[in-house]
Amino acid sequence: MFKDLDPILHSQLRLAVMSLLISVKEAEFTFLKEQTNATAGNLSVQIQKLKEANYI
Amino acid sequence: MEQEKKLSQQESLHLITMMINKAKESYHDTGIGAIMWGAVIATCSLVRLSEIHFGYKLPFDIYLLTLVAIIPQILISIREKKERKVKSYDDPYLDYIWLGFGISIFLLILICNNIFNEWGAWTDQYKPVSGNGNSYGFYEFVGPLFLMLYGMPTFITGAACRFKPMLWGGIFCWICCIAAIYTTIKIDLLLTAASAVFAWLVPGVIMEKEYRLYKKQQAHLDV
Repeated sequence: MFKDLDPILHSQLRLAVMSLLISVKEAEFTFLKEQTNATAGNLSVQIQKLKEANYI
Repeated sequence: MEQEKKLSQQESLHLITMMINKAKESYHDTGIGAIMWGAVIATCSLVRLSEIHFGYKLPFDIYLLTLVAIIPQILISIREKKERKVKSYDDPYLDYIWLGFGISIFLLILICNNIFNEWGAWTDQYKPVSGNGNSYGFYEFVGPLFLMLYGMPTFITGAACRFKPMLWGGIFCWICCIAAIYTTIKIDLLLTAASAVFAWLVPGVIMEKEYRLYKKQQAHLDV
């Protein structure tokens, strides 16, 4: 069966960002902001966490 | 969107599916390039048809319009790339397919002109003997070759972007290609014009409408 989801992706916004990025080659910050309806500050923090976890 | 809300397995799956679909829907071509090429190729074919039908000749080759159209196409491509917020995995492949198509068309024109010159010399020698020899004779066979090439990138783009009008446009080009094998040059030119309209102009107009709608929705969301 499938492995459990990495705890870093338990966050709704981080999972949403990864789901968006998995289907495209490149995306701009504004695109992620539009699609997730998140604030720029919040999105920026979550992207930084994904970056630290080597997802981005 | 809340940042640290714990999601159940079902909620996670739902969110993943929703975001993947959103990403897929976010790709919108402006359609301007398709509209322009559809209009240019249809115009060239119809003007050439009227030249043959009414027996006149323009002081320049109408197909030179296709070379002129390369300049706005480059500008359109640069502008679209700048405006695009997201790049799909298919984008570079589609760019190469259309570039390859442009090169193939250029080579086909080169080959055809070369053969036509030879053919012309041959018919000039043959005409006084036989009374036959139509200078358009060779071009009777060229139309289907162009239609065959028109269909290929159109069909692939339609399939890759899941855009049915273009997919069917590509198939329409190939149907016209088969028909053009058996028809005269005048009908070939009509079929070429029809192919340009159904493969590029009409899908381009649909794309442009969808793009405008998407932009309107985005503007509405931003407010």
